[in-house]
Amino acid sequence: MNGLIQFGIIIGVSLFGTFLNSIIPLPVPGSVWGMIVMFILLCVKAVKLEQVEIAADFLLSIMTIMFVPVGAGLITSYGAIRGEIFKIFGVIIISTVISFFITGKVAQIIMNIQKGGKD
Amino acid sequence: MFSNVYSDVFGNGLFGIFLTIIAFQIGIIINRKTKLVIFNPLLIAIIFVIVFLLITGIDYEDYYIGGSMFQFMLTPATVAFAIPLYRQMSILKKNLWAILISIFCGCISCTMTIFILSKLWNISDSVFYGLMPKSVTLAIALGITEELGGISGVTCVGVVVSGIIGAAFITVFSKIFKIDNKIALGLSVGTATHAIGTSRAIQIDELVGAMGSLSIVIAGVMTVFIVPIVSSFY
Repeated sequence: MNGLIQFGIIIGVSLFGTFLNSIIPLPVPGSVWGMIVMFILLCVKAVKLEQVEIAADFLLSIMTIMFVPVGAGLITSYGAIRGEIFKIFGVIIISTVISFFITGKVAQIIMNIQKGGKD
Repeated sequence: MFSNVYSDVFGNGLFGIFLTIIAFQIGIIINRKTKLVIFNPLLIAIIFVIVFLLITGIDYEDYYIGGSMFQFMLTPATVAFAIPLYRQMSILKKNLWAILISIFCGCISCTMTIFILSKLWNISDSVFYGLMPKSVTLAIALGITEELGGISGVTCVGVVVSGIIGAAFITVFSKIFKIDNKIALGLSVGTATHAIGTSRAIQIDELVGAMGSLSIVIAGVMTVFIVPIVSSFY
């Protein structure tokens, strides 16, 4: 299907997600509502994979560059966080390692239990 | 006359778009030449833009006129995550409980660690809010930070650094922590270190990569609901 129409579908769902964000009093970003709606549309086959995948794969492949302007925005908030920079890095590193460990271990334990149950 | 030239050229959206693309290309080239994970293209691009603005004295606001166009595309790009999630439906169905419970535990342990350390070290509110969503993919993380009123620059640093940790140490962690099951390893990478860690995982093994990209989306959605609850106690 025409790439522009694929974009149109994704933009339309994004717009609907933004609408849900403004009417539903939950701190859920419009983008996440949009993603949930898109997933449901695919599951109930209201939207077919071929109708969105070219535009979706393109958007995901160029996604990283979209973060450059936000990241550079640190220039405006650096003054506010300068005093806490080491603490910030400490929190980031420790929480990442703990979450990595817990997720994998829990997954292995559950899969072992399920395997044991079948044997 | 020169002030006219300045506002015409740099007050124009094209400048921000151009600088962003150049900075990112430089990041990709350096990353390819050095092959070092620490030289992440995004990290280099961000540093390049900051240094460039500081040296030339061009206002961030002027750069952001064009830069904001990239940020504008984040919402549709996040919506597009539904597509890889849908493609992996069969793996998802087969291991549903292991996937959902382990990612949930990963998200909870991450936010709780941030909460406890922030309390312990007296970290200010806006920085704490900026850190809370730091393990999920940036598009979702920024949305959460915005909803909470945190500093988005902190979120960016947190997300990028978490991702680089995952990409750099995935094999080391897998050995030390004895996470040898490929599905479990993929869940760990995606939940703790999102897309940057997963992009490295795909090079190691396809199943690890597939599980990683699935966890990015699920962990992102779970974190959206967990963060406001945990933050409300801060």
